Amino acid sequence: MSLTRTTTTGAPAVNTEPRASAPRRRMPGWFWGALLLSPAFLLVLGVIAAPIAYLVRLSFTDAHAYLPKFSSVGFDNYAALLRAPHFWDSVRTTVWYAGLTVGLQLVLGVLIALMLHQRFRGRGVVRLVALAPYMVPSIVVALVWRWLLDPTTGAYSWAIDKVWPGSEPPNLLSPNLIFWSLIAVSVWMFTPFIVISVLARLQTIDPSVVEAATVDGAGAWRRFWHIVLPELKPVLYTLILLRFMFMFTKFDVVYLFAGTGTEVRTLPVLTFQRIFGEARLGSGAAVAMVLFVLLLIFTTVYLRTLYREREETA
Amino acid sequence: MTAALHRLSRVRWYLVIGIVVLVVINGFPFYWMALTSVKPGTELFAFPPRFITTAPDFSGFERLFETTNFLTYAKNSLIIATGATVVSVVVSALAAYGLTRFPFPGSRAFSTAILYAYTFAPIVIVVPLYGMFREAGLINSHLGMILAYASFGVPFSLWLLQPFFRAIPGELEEAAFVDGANRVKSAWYVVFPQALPGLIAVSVFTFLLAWEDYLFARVLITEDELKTLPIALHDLYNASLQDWPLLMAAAVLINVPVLIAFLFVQKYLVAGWGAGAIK
Repeated sequence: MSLTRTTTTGAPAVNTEPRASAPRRRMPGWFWGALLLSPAFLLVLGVIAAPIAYLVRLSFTDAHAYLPKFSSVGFDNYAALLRAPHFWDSVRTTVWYAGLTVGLQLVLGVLIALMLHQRFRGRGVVRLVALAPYMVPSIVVALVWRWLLDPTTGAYSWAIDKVWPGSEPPNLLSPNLIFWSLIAVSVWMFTPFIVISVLARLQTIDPSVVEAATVDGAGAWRRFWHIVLPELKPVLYTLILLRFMFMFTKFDVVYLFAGTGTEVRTLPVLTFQRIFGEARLGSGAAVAMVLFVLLLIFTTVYLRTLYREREETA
Repeated sequence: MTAALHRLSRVRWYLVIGIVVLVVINGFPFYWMALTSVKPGTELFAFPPRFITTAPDFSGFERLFETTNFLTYAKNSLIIATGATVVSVVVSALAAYGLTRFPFPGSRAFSTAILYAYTFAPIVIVVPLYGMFREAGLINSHLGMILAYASFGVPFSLWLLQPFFRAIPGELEEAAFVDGANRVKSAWYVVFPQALPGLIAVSVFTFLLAWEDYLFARVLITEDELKTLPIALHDLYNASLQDWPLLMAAAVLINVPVLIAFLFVQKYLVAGWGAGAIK
């Protein structure tokens, strides 16, 4: 309400004055900009920036979740991490997990988007089904897939038995195979993100260009390779970066579907386990710091790509 | 002519197969979830499995409401997700309006900083947040959860809303000023209605973010009466009851708001996502 009074001084007279579009203000424009921005600024500062600062501090201490006092230990946490073989196993698992899931999401996502871009009856419903896995809570995804893939009672065993009668279906939830099942479930859950982003981009391609190519005798593959793919390229670059960041730091579905076994102990799971399994706050903070620094690098590259894309399309 | 026709029919054929495979792979888990929730015990572990049930049995739902605090968890989830949505959308709409109408030195830098925040992973934040909330007494509180989810919603919402606000021509507002409206009125009656699709899209995203989150709720809530639905469902599963009809009944009910949000705003959702998520 105070905004009302200060922006338009002498409000009743405004109607008679055609130059009311520039009302006399007591405060300059930047003041209102800063004022309107301040709640967002405080929220982001308080719940994202401040915790990061606190994280840096924690990572240099021996803080324990149930003990109130802690002391500085310098770089000990980091040194211990670099020496621990299981840390490097975690790094490897995380890179494989992110790399494989992103690659598969990308290929499948583009294929599905191209399919859903075609005109056919019931497209709205099919699009809904195509996007559904992304909207569901990860606990639901994890439980439904554990139930489907259950080695003794899951519908999956039946399907295997139908295709190869009498064969012993492999236990997809066993430590040997859980990593690969996790890859499949993650791809199932997150491919819609690619689908919807690519679909949005496809809609901006001028259809007359594609039509002209068809008239000139270009087949579907050539049209895709020479017309559609170059148009998609910038968006695909940014998608690769964004999805890689998200998959690299994915916690929920990894932990809920596959647990904390060494086969699936990605860096986020290791962080969680350190803090809430072993109560080692300082040591867990060091793992989180590794993730944080990597994210910072990814984000910088991502933003550069994004701005370059913007300049190209502008 | 026949060659063209032939090509067309071949493309259509691939399309049909592709769509059927997609619908089965994406849809079957949902069907199985819903079916399991009403399967009578005799059919549950039948081999070969039953793909339809002739005698739906709702005892899974009954057990869910009788033996667990499901309604309490649902209420917690609803309060937290709604609160986070309101806070986040109001805050980010104000900020988006400010950024597009009153650019000031440093507002561009702020936009970039917001993008950095958007890419932040909950797992990185949750460690120090746990420590800070413990000191501030915000563990086990709805307010703490609302603030946490709202601040995760703000960077994304602000990023997504900016193009919507930028697309509204300044002349529209100036016309309102000429008609005697002040800035608050013109924002409320002219600018925000124009940005409505974006506002709806970010509301849905923020609500879902809070509704489906597991990590923050796991760490920042320890009291049973304050648990949210995802935590409650995981704990039920871990209680090793493995009562699948009950678990799947809970899963079905958790999805209800998701489905409603999705159906209602699908149009805005795609528009919003296309406009803001990537570009």
